[in-house]
Amino acid sequence: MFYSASNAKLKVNDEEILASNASLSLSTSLQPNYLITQRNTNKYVASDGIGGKLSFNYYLTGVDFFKSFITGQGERQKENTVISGNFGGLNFDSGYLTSYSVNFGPNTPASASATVTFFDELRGDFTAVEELAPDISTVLNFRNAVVSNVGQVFESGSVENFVGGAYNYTAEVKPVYLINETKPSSVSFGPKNVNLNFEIDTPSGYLPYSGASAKISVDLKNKLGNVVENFTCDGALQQRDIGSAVGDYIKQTINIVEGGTVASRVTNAAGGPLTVAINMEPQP
Amino acid sequence: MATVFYDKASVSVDWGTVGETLLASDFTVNLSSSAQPLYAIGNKGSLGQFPTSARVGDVSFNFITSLTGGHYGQRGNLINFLASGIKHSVGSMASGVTISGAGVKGIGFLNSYSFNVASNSISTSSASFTFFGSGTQLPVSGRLTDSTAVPPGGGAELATGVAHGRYTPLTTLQTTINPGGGDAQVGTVFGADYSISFNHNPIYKMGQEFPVTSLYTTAQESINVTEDIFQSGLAFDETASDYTIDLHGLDTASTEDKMQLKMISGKQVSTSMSAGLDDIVRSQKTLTASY
Repeated sequence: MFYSASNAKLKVNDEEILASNASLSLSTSLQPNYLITQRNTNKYVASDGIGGKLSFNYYLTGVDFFKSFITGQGERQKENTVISGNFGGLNFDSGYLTSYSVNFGPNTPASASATVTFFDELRGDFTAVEELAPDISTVLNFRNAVVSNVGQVFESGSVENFVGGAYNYTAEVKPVYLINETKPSSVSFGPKNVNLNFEIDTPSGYLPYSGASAKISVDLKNKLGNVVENFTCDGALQQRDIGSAVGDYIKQTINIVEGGTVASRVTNAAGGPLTVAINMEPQP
Repeated sequence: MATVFYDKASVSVDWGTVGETLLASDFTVNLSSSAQPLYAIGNKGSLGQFPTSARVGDVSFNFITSLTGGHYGQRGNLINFLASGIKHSVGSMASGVTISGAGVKGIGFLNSYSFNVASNSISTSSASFTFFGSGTQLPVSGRLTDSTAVPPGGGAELATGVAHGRYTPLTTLQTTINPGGGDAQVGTVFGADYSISFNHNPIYKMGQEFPVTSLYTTAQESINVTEDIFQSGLAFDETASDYTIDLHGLDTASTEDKMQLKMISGKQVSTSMSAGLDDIVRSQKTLTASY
């Protein structure tokens, strides 16, 4: 039996996500079980717990639901927040956001990609659905974005134009198993990193030995001009790339890293709706 | 008034302090947005249509190859002047020119320009421009209204200010075959089709629909020559040569009745020969150059 993409809904924490694609992988950790006198074996034993990843891309229509997990997981007060996922009826309930990124491009609809890592078996059966798509009125567009910078990154010359770039977040999450557990009773959070790269004008070679402090903030607005989402990286300029090709212009990209998530804290000053299907009613 | 007859829809081109109304035979303006449907898994049908790139426009028109203009010492129409200026430009910045017709106008970047000239025929040209817009400026503005203009020169002068095949010999494009022994053959040119296309690179940035600037990058030029001699000895690597085309009108007494165009380092890249009923065997060669 085969199904089309429209037959499988993606839900995270029971909220439907308007994803353009999704993939779910599940794997075990099996090791071959050799005996001393044998060099061949058909026996395998589990050496670690079962787990998988849910990856998906989705459109931003307002305040990003997933961005809250950047600072909502692994922090002291909220470290018990877990993500449950359901793809076509196959579900898990011990997920953690391990990567998140948003690509910035002129005049393009805003979309994000996320990867949720889970340490659990998939439960449930695949159940096809047949529903009409909601008629949403807004997908945020980077035509309505404002990019601002603070810091020494542009010390060697004025930068007036931000062409495009990407905001990336990664987190290291490791399961902690107790004896007799196949599903971890807790996880340990490793380093969280945010980096932001941007193509800018005014080529320069300015990059001090110790980097340069840099802060770039991208405000994403709705049609009314209200800021509904923000992506900020407050860290150090660590890399510059300059290049060109025949028929193209000279492109310069800077890369800023932040060894933390302080600048990524969620604010919802405009009170916009979250990026989940339940909030897709027509709005300005 | 919404209804405008063609005689009230002239095409004008302005660049800086110079401008010209062309003898256009048609004129087409397009403006398009890029609404694309977005789909989500688990849902049948689209979520709606949303913009994915900036609005962009274009204009194209055919016109009689007029020679009566004069811009910065160069005789001929303004389109030919622009094409020549862009292809020989060493700068990358392109400012565009204002194209207006029937009350609608925009800042256009020359995409292509071509003309043909053949024996005993009036030469016709065509041009197309792309409207990218700039900053907050829309690609195309205005509404359909009357726009009358006096053709360049006007009156009787107009008839002699048009490029014509009668006095345009195109001898610079003749093929010469010299097999040795003093038996050289020189082709007779019956006509030529000239075209040039330009590549522009608009640069868009975050938070703004229309480009910050537009860069001119490269141009490709070609001349298809129709004659009566076939050169089978097309070389693997032909020798580059400069080719000058002088287009003349009917006023043979006038020294200004001429428009010149020069292909730099052109190479012959093809040759062909064809025969049809009731006609002589004609051959064609293609010369190309890049800038």
